[in-house]
Amino acid sequence: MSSPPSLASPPPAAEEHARRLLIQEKWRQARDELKPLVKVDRVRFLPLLVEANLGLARKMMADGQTDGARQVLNYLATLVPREQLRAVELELATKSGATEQTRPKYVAALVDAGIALPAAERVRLADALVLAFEPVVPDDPASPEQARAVAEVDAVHAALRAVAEAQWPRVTELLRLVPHRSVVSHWAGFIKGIAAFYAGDAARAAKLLRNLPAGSVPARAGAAYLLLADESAAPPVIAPVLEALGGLIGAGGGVASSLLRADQLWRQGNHTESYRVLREAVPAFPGPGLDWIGGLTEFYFKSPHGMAPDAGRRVVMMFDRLFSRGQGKNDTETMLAHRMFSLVGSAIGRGEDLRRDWARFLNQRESIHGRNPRLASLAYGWLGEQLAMTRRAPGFHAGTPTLRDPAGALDALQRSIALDPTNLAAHLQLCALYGVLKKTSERNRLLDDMTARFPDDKQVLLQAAAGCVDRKAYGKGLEYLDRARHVDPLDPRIPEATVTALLRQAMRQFKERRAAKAEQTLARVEEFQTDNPEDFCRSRWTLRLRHGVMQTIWGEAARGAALLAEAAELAPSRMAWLWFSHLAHRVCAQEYRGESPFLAELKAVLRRAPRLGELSLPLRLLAYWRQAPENPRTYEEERLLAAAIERAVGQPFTRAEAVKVVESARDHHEFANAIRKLVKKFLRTDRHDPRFRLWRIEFANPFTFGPPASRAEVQAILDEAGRRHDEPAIREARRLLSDLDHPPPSIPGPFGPWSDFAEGPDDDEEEGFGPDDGLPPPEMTPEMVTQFAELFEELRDAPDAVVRKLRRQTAGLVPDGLFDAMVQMARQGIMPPRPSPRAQPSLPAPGPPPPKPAPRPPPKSLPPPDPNQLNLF
Amino acid sequence: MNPYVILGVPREAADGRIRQAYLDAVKLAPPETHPVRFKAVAAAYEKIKDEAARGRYELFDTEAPGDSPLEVFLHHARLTARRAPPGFEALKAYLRTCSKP
Repeated sequence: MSSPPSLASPPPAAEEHARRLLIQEKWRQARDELKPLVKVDRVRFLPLLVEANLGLARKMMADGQTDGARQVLNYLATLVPREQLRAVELELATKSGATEQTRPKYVAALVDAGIALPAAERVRLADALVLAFEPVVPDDPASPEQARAVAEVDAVHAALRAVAEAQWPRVTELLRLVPHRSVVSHWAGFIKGIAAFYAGDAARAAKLLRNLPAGSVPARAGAAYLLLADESAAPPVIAPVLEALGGLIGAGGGVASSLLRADQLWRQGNHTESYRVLREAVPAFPGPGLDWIGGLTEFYFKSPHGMAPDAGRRVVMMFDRLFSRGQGKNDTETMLAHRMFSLVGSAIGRGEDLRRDWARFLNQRESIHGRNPRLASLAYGWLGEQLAMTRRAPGFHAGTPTLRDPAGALDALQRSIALDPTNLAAHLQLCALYGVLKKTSERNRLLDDMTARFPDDKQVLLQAAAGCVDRKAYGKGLEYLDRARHVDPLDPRIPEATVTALLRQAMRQFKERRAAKAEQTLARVEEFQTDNPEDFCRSRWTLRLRHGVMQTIWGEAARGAALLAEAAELAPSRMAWLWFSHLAHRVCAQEYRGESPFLAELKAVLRRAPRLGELSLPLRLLAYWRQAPENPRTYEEERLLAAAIERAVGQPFTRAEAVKVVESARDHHEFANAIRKLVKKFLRTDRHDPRFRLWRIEFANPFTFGPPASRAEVQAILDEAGRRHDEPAIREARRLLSDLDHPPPSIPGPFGPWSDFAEGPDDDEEEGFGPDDGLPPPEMTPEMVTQFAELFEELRDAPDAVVRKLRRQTAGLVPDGLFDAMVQMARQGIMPPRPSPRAQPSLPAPGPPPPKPAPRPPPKSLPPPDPNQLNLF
Repeated sequence: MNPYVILGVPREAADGRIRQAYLDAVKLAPPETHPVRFKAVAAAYEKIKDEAARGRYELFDTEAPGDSPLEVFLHHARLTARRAPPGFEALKAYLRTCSKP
């Protein structure tokens, strides 16, 4: 209790303290504080003292201390006229059990003009009458005012019932009986408000509910509705309103405080503790239903997917710890946690972990929601797709992509098809996987099944056609392509595939010395030819050229020469004609590296140092031929072209020419040096060009671990690209930033590139970017490389729990993406090189040179499956 | 937000019922007058309009229904509470709860 202030003049602090106590509903303390103040200034402080005593009396009544409340009222009667206490005395009488006798007196007190009842007390009495939900009789049957008040209370009761039954016209009709001056008019406002809310008029509802008298029951009940009606209402939400809202939607009592605490923790970034609060406070949480618990469950199990990597990982780790200790709360938690593990680990986890987590999720789902073969088929199809994913090594010299878990993928996709034979996506995926795994007979059998099951599906027909062409069943393949063309006459892949099939059929017929038949076949190609010279499959000049090459090799040389001359007229340039003729001749003649009749002239043309702008078309031609199923070895051609680019860099060139060349050449490592020179040369003229700065990063250190650039550097490039409105650079920089923030899943392929790095020619040393280029210097010291290698060895056989622990321990030292890549590499037995003088040129190299790494067996390397791309000639 | 809750259909609802619920919701929230709510309804329908979409939602959806627990709770309450008023006894109980100090 506070010490009484001086009686001579009440200090403002004392008054302020007393008022604060009143607001805080600390009635007894407020009363003690106010008693001495009343002696100083009765007029000013007496109403406050009365308020404190009334509050105290009501508190005592609520606590069942009716005798104490009566004593307080007796004391109050010495301060104010008895009429002012009528309301609280009636409440006290009601609490004491005399309901039948006191309620009529409520009515009398409300309508008696002689009683000066404070407004708040009138509202209290009216609320008590309504909340009794019982018929009221007037204290004086002869009084018309009392009869009217009773009728108004009855109308409110009936209107509330009509609201509950959604009888909106009746609600309106009943509320006409309650005029504005009525003692229960605030109830009419409340009912109109909630009626507007349920009728969908949120604005009117909010307007009506905002104008209810403060402290009244309708105002408190309306606060929850107001929160629902006004969707712009934002936290802070006070606990009592939230508690009321919980009651309104059937959430039960006691939810508000836990929810507010969980919300606060969440906003502070403590996501795991936030989950724990609700997990411990709400017995049914997490739950699978569509109620509020289900909504929050969905929130907690989906949010980690959109969080920053570290925050998301903490949540995943929490669940991982719970389940590793066998502390899962219920089936829903088990189901959703394993779904989360699977989706999070789909990109980087081990295949067996993914299979196990996904199976557990599906089993739990089945036990909660029942069996659903189609959904299970979809689920296994996804699993197969994940396990069949190819992994590519980071860096420019990416290494050969490898399949993640081919056996697991086959099993999952076969199971998917068994569960739902109409699952087309699973069929296509399995077909592509068979193709990648070179399981030709299985693929052909599957394609036969697919054409029977999905006779009008374009994808299936294209795949089936590709399968037929691969096994030289050209007639059947062309039949499938005809059907596909009827299904979709506008898909350009179909005529392209048809031309490819016809060319291969013609080539076979030429080889079998059936030249006339081959001519007939090639005549069919005319239907599909185009005038686009850059369509290397169907353009008029390339078709003439191929025909000419075939005639030259197997048919009439003179006719072949005429066709080649005709093609030369139509070709976009002599160089393009020479390149295409040379490569087509090599493929047709099935020469591994043999010289075609065109090679000498081609070399002569290249020696004449063509300009950079002339070289982008040959680059695209080369890329086209590299995709041919004959897979012609083009090393020599690549070297020729790379040398030509390097020579062209010495001549003047435009930015557009340089961009075209880099874009055409960047996917093949033979051109890396040439591109480095080109980029370096261009940056001398415009050192801020964002695209070339990005390429400088891309081609700088092809074998480095982890992100190739700092975030700040890429951000600066992005800013510059924005200033220049360079959309491709903006896209590329954003992608790179996203990779830095969320490293893409990648594991290195074979160990070869690292060996090359240790032992091969150091092109970078000669042609690399110096300090003036603004690149960061090498950061790996020998000690770091050694530690790196040790960490790899630890990771190689470590179970998942240990890996997670190590990840936590190295957080801040090793970037996430790098760590994930290391885990994958270690588990594949791929270890980094120990430091060597070559890798660390700044170190002295005493003693014998480091041992050459043992040769590694060539890994099984497979091209990535692409069901949309036909593997045709 | 959960698409089943937005459209007010049970999880086992068939395509026809879901479509009807979608059409009803669009009538209540046409794009001209309620663009935000319409967008939510349309997105919800896309997520569960047929068996394949429902399967994808169940298995792979990772879009959180809100930014914080309270926001999700309020959103859920807004969606469910305005669908129908509580029964008379529930309303009485609610009002009596609100009378307690």
